[in-house]
Amino acid sequence: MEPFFVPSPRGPLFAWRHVPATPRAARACAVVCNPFGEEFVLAHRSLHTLAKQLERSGVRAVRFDWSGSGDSAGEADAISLEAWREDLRLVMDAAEERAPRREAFALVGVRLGAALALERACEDDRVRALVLWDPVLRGSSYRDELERAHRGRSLPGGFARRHGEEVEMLTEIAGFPLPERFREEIEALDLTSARPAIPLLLVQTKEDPLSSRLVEEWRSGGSAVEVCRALDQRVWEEDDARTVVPLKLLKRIVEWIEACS
Amino acid sequence: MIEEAEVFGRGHRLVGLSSRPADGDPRAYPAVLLTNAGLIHRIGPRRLYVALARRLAAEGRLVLRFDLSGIGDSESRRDGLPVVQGVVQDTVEAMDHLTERFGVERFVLIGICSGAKVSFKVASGDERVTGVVLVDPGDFGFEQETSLVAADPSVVQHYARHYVRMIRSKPLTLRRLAGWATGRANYGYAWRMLKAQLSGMGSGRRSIRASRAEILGVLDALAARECRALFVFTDESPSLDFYTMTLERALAAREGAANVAVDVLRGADHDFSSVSSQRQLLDRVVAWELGHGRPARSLNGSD
Repeated sequence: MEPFFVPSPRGPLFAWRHVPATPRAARACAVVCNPFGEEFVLAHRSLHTLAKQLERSGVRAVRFDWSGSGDSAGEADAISLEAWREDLRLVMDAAEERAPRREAFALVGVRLGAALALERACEDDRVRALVLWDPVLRGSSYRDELERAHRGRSLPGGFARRHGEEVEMLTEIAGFPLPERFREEIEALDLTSARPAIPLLLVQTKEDPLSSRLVEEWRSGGSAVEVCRALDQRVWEEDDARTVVPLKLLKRIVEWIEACS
Repeated sequence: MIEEAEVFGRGHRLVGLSSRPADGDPRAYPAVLLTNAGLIHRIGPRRLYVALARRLAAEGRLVLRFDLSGIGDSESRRDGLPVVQGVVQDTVEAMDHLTERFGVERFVLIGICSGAKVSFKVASGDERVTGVVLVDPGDFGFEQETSLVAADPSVVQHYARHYVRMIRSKPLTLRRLAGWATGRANYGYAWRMLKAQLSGMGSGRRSIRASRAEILGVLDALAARECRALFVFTDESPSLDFYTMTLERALAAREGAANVAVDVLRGADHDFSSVSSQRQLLDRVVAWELGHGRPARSLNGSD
């Protein structure tokens, strides 16, 4: 496991690369796309463990922090999805430059990170496999979900009324800023018509009728879709009684990526 | 500012990031170490440690935010050390690393919650530490194995308030109430908590006195070697309760108080789950570090 920085217009992006001691003959590099805000913090150790397991199984893995999050450069109140889309492309380019030989990519995205991974997979033919872990497929629903969670926890602040408007706007989620532009980008996000034509593993750790319905459409579009249901293994959700890394679930993801590569 | 990844410690198990100004001698000031808050990795609650590291680096400080063994990106220890000794040793190894790499020999330790306890423990035993910032340090690491209930009326009042706040902090929904009858509640945890409270009755006062004496002893020792301390408490936190119950009056009357500054962040919760409370904390800690602390005073006179 080696740290490195990826140059970006917003400053260096912090990344880890996990290089297997004995790479598999088949070549693949898994890039992990983090969720947003508190979900990222909660999922961190599990995604660290996932990358280590990939490394042990002979698959190269790269983890990185989106600009304005984690250890990467940038302010949390200046984040944007447009910048994050570029971050992912830059990280893939950097991983490719460091690879000993040409490799295909497997993107592993969690929640909002899954949305960005899915977008990338539809437009970048270097991506040959996709793991979507409780993906955000409709931004407006995601915003509502975040807002409900914020209100449900009775957290202080988080809402502001813009001049002349009656409706309060969400400005932060559980202590993470939600800049106006970022919120608008999330609201505009709609991946229900995305058709990835590559092998796809859908990981569901919560009931999600929308992604379940899309599975059939993805299959009819030519994608070999597998569904892995592991309800109540939401590593991205706060629960005092559940701080354990879901090793069995991670093993399943690793085996699927191995098989794809 | 320069940020670099640091891999260090015995077996290169520990990882972190150093932040420092592009110009200037990193030895000009004590280096600042940020210790994990609970299981949250080195970026800290709501990324507070990243913001703090960068602000202090802009003021000329060398800052290391790092992961203790088994947290974030650091590997677990394999030497069988008990957890508390292990995290103390991790922090010592972090200081050793900065000494070896940058030549710094003085350190300020900053921690939130369990990070505060670790910082206090390390400061008590390592003379290289010249300052500590303890944010919601709970019982300062002197774990109460016995119940505080029935020992002292003020303790009962404090804990009653604490539990009422806990109950109020989550909406009392039908689903939550029903959980106790449907088998979904964590009965084992509830039983352990109740047992701990009941089993400790009668020994609470003795326990509090022992903790108070030990903490004051450490503070006296820190004062004797001119180690500064800032205690920061969030509003209505159990840490503030513990402080007012056990330390406030005793500390004010002692020599050790001279190097201790105390602040309560009104409106802030323990998780710093609002951006405004994060700004409050950052401003206070940076001001203390730049101004070398302030004289101790009563909580009533705090900001």
